[in-house]
Amino acid sequence: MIDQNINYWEERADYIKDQQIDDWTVETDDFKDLYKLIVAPGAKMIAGPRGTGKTHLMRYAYNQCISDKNKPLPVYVTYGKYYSLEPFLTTKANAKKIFHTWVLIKLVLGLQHSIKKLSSDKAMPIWIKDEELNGFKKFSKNAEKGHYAENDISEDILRTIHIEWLHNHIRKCMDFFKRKRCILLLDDAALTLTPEYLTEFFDIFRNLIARNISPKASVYPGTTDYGPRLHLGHDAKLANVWKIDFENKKDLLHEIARKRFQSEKLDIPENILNLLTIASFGIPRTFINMINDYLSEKNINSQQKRFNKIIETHSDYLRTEYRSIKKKLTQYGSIIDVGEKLFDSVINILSEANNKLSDKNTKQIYIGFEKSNRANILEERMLRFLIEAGLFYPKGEVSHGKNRKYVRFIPHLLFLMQQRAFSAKSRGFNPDNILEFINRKNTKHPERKKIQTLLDDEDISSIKLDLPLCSNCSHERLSESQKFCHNCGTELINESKYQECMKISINELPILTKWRKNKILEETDIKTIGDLLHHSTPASELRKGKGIGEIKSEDIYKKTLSYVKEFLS
Amino acid sequence: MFLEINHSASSVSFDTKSCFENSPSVREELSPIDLYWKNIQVMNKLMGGVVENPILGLLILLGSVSAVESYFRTLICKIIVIDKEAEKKCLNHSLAYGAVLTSIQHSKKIEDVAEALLEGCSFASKKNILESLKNFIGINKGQLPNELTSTLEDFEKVCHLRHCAVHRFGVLGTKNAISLDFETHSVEVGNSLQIGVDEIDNIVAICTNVIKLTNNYLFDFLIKRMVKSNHFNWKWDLRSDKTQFLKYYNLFYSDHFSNNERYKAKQIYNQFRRAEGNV
Repeated sequence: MIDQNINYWEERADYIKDQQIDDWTVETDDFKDLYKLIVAPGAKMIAGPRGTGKTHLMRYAYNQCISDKNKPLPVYVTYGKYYSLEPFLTTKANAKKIFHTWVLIKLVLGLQHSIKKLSSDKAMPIWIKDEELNGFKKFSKNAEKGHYAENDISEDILRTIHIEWLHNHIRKCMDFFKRKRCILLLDDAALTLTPEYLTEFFDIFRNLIARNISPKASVYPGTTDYGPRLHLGHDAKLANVWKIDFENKKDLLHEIARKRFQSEKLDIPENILNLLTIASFGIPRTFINMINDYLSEKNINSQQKRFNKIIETHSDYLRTEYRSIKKKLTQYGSIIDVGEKLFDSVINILSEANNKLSDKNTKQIYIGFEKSNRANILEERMLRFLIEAGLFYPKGEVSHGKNRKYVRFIPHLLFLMQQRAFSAKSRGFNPDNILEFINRKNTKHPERKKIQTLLDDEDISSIKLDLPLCSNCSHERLSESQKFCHNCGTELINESKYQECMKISINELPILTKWRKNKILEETDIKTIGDLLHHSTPASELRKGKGIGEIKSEDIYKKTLSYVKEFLS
Repeated sequence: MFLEINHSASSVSFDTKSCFENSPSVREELSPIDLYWKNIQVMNKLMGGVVENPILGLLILLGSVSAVESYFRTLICKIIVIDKEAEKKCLNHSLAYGAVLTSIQHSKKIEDVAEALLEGCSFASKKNILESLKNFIGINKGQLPNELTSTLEDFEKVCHLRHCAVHRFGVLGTKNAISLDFETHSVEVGNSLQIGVDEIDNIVAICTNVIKLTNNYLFDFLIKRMVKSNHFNWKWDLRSDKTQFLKYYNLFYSDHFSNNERYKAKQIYNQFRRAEGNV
């Protein structure tokens, strides 16, 4: 039966209730393996791009551990709001200390949440004074608003909270609830915008590892900077959530659709569903979105038009998301542009290769870039951005003869479909034929290229950092992190990314309709994201726009908040 | 017979007085924080040369710590002169006879006597800075905010690098490695210090943070302590309090770092009056 209070379309696990997490979980073999890794002893990094199910996995593991006495004591914490602490990096010398304390306080609050859940059977005696806990809550709340209260309480918290102190409290709880181990589930730990905090975070992560206590963190693929102390493979093992193995994924995604949308409501032909599975490139959130879009385009009668519209919408969305990195990390603007050209070039090459294969029984979805003897850090960074955005799926290295190594990738299949790479030269739309093509075996070798041959000279020379000039003498900077001008000695201004995000115009928000944008910009005082989020009464201000009522204003606020979260995550 | 294994040495005439001739100090005209900025700017401008000449990195490191030391030395001796509580703290300290003699015969300035008190002090470590703040001004380390103590911890690392540069021509010794974190530095023992552009940038940023935070903290601490100690009868009217207030304000004000309307004397005085409950 359909419950009106449940949002069956919700694609973010953060907003799904515990009961739905359990009900909507699809227990494939891959999922079971990942779940075992999470619950088992040992530190782990769970890697996957946005929407691959990291949060779902962690929250599911948390619920299972809470309800089973034989499983470890779970503590779940999300660090998604780290970006609020980012402005401290330019205003407080002890920003890292404040961040460090916030990370630990979140764990204390997470532990308290678990204790509350477990105390329904047997109440645990007071382990921390209410006064102290309130101080922690206030500290954390303030930090998440980018504020640090300069008072004795905050100073005292900075002094008292440390890892050993936390370990002692965790052990007391483990003893009381008779749990032999504890797992710390650290969600949203990618912290991509603040490498300074990322290094600090992995230092904390490493120190959290103790006898019977194992942290597990969710990160994005392509992250390589785990700081000087954490050794991946030794201190923590990496597990990949993102998989694009067609056969297994098909079962997983179909099952997700069945559980979420209840099969009787799913008015989608089997072959279209299979195409959407492939177009979602192994990312469940994209898949759920696509189904949602397909079902809501009922007015379009032609199956082909309906499918093409979804492909077009999502390719636009993926490109917009990829390009949004330019706004977040302005110094990489040119690199992001060249990366997109490289991606398009790969799509063209593979589309042509598949056209040539139309009469054969194989397909080509692999590109192999020849590995240069000299590592080019910026070129590698360019590829990492494409991986992080989910446009390239890394498939490791292969050797083709002495000193010839290739790094292989699969580009997002939605773009190959858009280029009709699997349509076998046919002009029409035949889902079964496309599926037959995609299900062919891959050719033995990838399309092998040097990155340089896919770009023109101008593009190659654009693989550089775009660094702002010194505001005092207009001299070029020497490096990305430079703080003082080497020409005039002046302090260089590095604006906080959070503040840059707050400056984004309402007009640039892809999640709002044109009508809504016009109403807000023309009839209210809100011009930027910051104006909206920092307004004392945002709902009343929004409702000054004629036609914007309670529901719309709430929706606009919620959507803007979620955009900010996506932007800064 | 003396056995020579290398060439003989030659004669050198070196008059150290000539090193100081015609180069009057600019200390008098600038506040200590502006003096620091002037010195550190000179270091910053050398940064570009490090790529071609890496040894310059070590010299900039020495210069940066020296700029911090100079700030503390100048500031503390000026505080001793204007602040009654600090003066009280120093009454029992011993002074070299030579310092008194110079003061009577040449400078005749009380600042020079105060500076002589600091002759034996170094400010090239966290410990030394904290001790001097305690001995000459009367501040206990427990009173310092975390932001300042954390920055002094970073500064301590810079001082260890300086130690390598000064005493071992940049080679990392075991003692410094232990202080810097043995776990990550033990493998580097015996290796040469290489200070590139990024490292200089961080060193200068740490030194500048120490100065900015100390300057803010000491101004707030001293001016509020003066109210508690009743050395001056505050009227809470800028026209009457101006002379006394400006003694402190001018000592800590920076043409470079206070370049904003909110740091004007009147604004700060009003904030001070409000903080003391005299709106």
